[in-house]
Amino acid sequence: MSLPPFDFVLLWTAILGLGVFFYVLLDGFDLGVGMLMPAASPSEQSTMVASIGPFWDANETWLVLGIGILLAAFPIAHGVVLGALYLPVVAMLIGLMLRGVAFELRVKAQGWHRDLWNWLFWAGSFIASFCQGVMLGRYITGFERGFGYWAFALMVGASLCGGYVLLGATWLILKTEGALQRRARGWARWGLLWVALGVALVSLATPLVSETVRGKWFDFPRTLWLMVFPAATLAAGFMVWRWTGAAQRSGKGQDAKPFCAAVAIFAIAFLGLAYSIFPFVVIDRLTLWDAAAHPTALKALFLGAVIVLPFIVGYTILSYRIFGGKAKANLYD
Amino acid sequence: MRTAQSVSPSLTGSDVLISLLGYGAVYLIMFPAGVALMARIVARGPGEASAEPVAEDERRP
Repeated sequence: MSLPPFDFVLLWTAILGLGVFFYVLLDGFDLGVGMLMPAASPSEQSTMVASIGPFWDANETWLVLGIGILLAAFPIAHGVVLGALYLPVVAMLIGLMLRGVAFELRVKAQGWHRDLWNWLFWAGSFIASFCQGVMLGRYITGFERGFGYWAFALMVGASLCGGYVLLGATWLILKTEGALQRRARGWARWGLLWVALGVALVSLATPLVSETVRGKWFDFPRTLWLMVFPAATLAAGFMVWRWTGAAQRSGKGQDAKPFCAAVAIFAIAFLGLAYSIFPFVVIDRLTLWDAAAHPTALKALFLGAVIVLPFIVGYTILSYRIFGGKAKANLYD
Repeated sequence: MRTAQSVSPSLTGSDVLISLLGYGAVYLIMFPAGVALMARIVARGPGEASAEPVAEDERRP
């Protein structure tokens, strides 16, 4: 008895999907904290930077990993997607560069110099987040040209900033205490409203733009069980709202809840998007199998993944365990 | 394959110009800032630098 041939395309799709998801989740919270900087006092800013200090650059590994997988395993999609998104990608990289430099130099600077680096840190975080949202908006509409499609992409950009603010604020609830934690609850609610707008926008627009997506979601009786997606999103959003109320107690176990609910919203949205687009990698144009590298290449690449991925996952878990607990302002200055 | 044949079909000259100017602007901020910072640390000299309370690395939890 012989087994059916193993499909490495599906395996690489899963690895790519997980890579992108972990990037959005992990860099999402530190970009969100960066965007919240102007809302905080100087001493709170130090605590906020300390809460992401040990993690932020390792979080960006996942971006490099995702783009690397796209290039190696799906070279045709890499050409089409990054070609179409050339300017947003350039702008995102410039944002990430500004942010990275500001992160290192703001602690060495004093007076108005520090204000300047803080401002660049905010600006870099905002540019990178906004561009990622624009990229998502362009991607799900299949890079269609025209005013409406660009307006849609800009609104997704704004919503993703809100989403990252939600992740960042709930991260601060987890990592800080006292007055800053209480303020972070308010920021989280504010971010949640933007997420609601973004999720509603994308859920309504994608079926309108693409017949393929419409067919997948509005196909009775399958539609009925697919309603699990919006129901679960609403439930998770409700939990974030509930757990960020002013009367919310703080304490071990309590502080992690809003972040977990925010992660759940992102996970559900990501799965919904994956369901909409699969088996395409560029919607209605290019399937994953059309875009994939030669099967032998995929197999050889998998050997590399078996060696590298456990290390990345391992050091990620290790660093989050070592730097667990509440952040203190004096980590950097 | 010649370089001209490998250019992305969707890439335009203005895209390239904008990205080149953007990277140029960022490096014009980063490089002088880094040099100025190093110059200041060197000018301060080792005596005062060691008077700083604790090095950053030692204070990490």
